[in-house]
Amino acid sequence: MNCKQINKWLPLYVSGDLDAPMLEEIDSHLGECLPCNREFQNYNKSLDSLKNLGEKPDLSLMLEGFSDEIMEKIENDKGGAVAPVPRVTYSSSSFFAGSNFSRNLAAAAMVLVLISAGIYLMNPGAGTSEPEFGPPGGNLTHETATPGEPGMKAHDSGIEALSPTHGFGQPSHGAGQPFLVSEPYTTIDPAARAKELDPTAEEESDEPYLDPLPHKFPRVQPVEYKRDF
Amino acid sequence: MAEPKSDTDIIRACQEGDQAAYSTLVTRYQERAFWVAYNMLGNAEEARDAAQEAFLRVYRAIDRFDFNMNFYTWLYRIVTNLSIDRLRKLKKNKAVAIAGLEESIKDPSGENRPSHQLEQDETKELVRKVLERLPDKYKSILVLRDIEGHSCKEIASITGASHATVRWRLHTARKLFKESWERMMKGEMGRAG
Repeated sequence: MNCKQINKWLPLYVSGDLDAPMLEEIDSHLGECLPCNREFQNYNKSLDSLKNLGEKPDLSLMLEGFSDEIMEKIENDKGGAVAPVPRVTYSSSSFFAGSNFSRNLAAAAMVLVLISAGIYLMNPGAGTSEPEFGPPGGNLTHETATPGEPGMKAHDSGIEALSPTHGFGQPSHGAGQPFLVSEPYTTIDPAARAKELDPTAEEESDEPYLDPLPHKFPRVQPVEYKRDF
Repeated sequence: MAEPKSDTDIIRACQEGDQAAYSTLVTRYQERAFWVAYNMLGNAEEARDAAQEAFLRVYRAIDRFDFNMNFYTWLYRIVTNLSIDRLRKLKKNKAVAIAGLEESIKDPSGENRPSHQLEQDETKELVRKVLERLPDKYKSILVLRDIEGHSCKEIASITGASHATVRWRLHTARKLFKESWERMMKGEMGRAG
């Protein structure tokens, strides 16, 4: 090692905080190199000055009543902030126990989210269609509805089909005010309105709706698992 | 005469609700706790408060004491951390004057002190001033290693840092201290000359 490297290790060499081979190497270098030896003496002096602080003076005066004060504080705060906090062990069965509650709640929420996601993936259309704003009693199967038919979505046919209070506050009878309901939907006859919008459309029959597309795939029969326990 | 109880026995008694047992533990470690805090803070009153707070915190957590650890290691860790917290607060509110222990507890009839003793006290004050300027993490290492005399391994368990980190910090701390100390001594000599 050269002098630069030796100097680098001197702060730890002074107290012997180095490995034995390193200590030996520095020892032999310091025996030969005067500048490094001088630097070592400087470290020694500064360390000695620090070690002098380690000499404890008589602290009995300073610490008079020290433990009594602590015990008094403990006594005063009994059951309060200073009381020992017992180690709590939670059993796995106690769902609502202490800090486990929030963890369990988070786990339950996660399970719910996963179940919802699973249901959604199995049946993507369910529950995701926009709400229907058609009048009560109207045909709500919008797959069969042509534009302007009762049961169509509000944004397809205009805002008249909206409930008087839907999203726009109180109904207004003022003319020329856009997006405000002029009359409650109960006064609109859906069939008449559909005819008005599309005179060529056929009148709705009372026959039950039949799906024109046959099921391509047979229904999967549930498999019965034999319990072995 | 009954043998003094070990720390472990006392802690077990505390855990079973024996409050008086804790008093024994406080008496046993109060000087050491105070002395570490004082060397960190350089102020006797602050050190006393920090040591008391540390003992209160230890009592609050005594039920969670890890018996694989030494009690004093645990106590030193709390004292050191509380002292560092206080140092930060003190640096923020610079209004608090640093009063040396020597000022607080020195012999009321100070005139009888021999001259070499006064000289030593002055040197100690200078050392404290140099320590004061060091960053907290280096100061705590110097206090624990060079003033308290703990090994690097003990310091690692007290501070929660790795052995290598402690050695590296000790290396830097001693270098910084020496440089600052030499500057201070040169300044003192220049003033004296």
